[in-house]
Amino acid sequence: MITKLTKEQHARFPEFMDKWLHCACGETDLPRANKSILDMYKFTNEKPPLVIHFTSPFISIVAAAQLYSQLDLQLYSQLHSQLGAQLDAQLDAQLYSQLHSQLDLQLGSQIDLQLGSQLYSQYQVLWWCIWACYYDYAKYLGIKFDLEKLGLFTNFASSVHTCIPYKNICIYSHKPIACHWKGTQLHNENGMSVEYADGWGWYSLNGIKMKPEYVLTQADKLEPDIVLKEQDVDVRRELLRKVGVLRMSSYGKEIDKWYDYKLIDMSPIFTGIRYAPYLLMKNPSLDDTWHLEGVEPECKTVEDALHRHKPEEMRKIPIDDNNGEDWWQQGDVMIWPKQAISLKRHPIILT
Amino acid sequence: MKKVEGNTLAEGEHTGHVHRVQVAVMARDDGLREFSGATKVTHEEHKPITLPTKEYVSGIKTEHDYFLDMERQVKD
Repeated sequence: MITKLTKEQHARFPEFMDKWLHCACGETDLPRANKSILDMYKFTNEKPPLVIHFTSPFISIVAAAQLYSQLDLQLYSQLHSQLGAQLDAQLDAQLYSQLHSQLDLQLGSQIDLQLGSQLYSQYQVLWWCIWACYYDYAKYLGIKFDLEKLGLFTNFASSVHTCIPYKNICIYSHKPIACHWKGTQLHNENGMSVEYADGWGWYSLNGIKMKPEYVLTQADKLEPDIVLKEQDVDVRRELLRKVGVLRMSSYGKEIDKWYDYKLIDMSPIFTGIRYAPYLLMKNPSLDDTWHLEGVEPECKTVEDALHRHKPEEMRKIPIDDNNGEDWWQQGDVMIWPKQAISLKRHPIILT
Repeated sequence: MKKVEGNTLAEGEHTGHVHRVQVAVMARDDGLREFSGATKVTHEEHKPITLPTKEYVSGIKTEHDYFLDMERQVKD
C-alpha cells in the first residue's frame, strides 16, 4: 500500500501531465491507431471491424450520421461499457487496492484540478487520456497493474482520437494538427486553439470557448456594445480582458467606488437609455480578471448594486450587520442559511 | 423537490465548471437549491469555502440586461 509520495515522485507529476496533454495532438500514427482499435474489438470479443478514419471529429460524425440508420448501434454502448465499466474499472480496482485512499484523493483532485474537469470541459476527447495519465503515473509510483490491460487502455487512449465504434465498422478521427495551450488552458489570440487538418476546429481564450470573431477581431476594433451584449459572463470576461478594463470603463461614467468595485453608467453606449449602471468588479480568485455586469437602473451606489445582484428570495431578507447571519459567495453562487431572518450586508467569505 | 445529480449548486454552460458540495442537493421549483450539513463548496476556478453545519439555500446572482431590458440569472 502506497501511503505517501517522495519529493522526487511529486516533482515528476507535471512531466506525466505534460506527456498526456500533448499526446492528444500532432500526427496520427495510423497503423498504431488501427491496431489499437482492432485490439479493443478483440478484447470485447467482436469481429475485426472495417476501420475508417477521417481528418476531424466533425467529418467523422457527419460520416457516422450518414451510416446511422444502416448500422447496429448496439456495439457503441458495448465497446464504451467495455472500455469504461470493465477495463477502466479493473484498472481502477488495482489502483485503489494499492494506493492509500487519502493519497488517491489528493492525487485525484490534483489531476482533476489541473487536467480533469478543466480540460474535459474544454476538450472532451481528452477524457480517456486523463485517466491514462493517472494510471501511467500510478504505474511509475509502483502500483502493480495487469500490464496487458494497462497497455491496451493506454495505447488506445494515446493513439485513437474521437472514435465511433459500430459492429463491423469503426470510424475514428485523426488528432488535431495543432493545439495551443497557455498552461493547461486552451488559448490562442490569433486563431484556432484546436486545429484539424481539414480546417475544422475551435477558438478559445484562457480556456473559454469563443466565437471566431471575438478572437480574430483586433482588440481596438471590438466595440463596447459587443462586450456588453455577450450574455455568458465567462465569455464576457475574456472580451473585457481583450478590450481592456480601462478602455471599456472610458465609455461610461464612474458613479461610485468601493474597494475593487466600481459602479459605472454605461448609458453612452446605448441609444434611448439615460442611465445604465454596470458593476465592474475584480475576480477574487483569478489574477487580472474583471467582470462587468449590469444592475437594475435604481442602483446609485456599489452597495445598492451588490444587494441587487442577490437572488430574489435572498434580496428580501433584511440586512442587519450586528445580528444578521453570515452568508457566503463563490463566484456567481450565493449561499445563505435557510432559516435566516436577517443577513449581514456582505458575505463572510467571497472567493 | 428533486435531488440534483452530482451535488451541484450551479454548472457553467461554456466551461463545464461546477460549484459543488459534498452533501445531497435538492432543486426547488423556483431554481434555488437546498442542502444541509457541514460541507465544502468547491469550484475549478474559485477557492473552496467550508460551511458549518446548517440548512442552506443557494442561488445564482442576477444581472440586468440592458439590451433585452430584463433581469436574469448570471450565465456562465
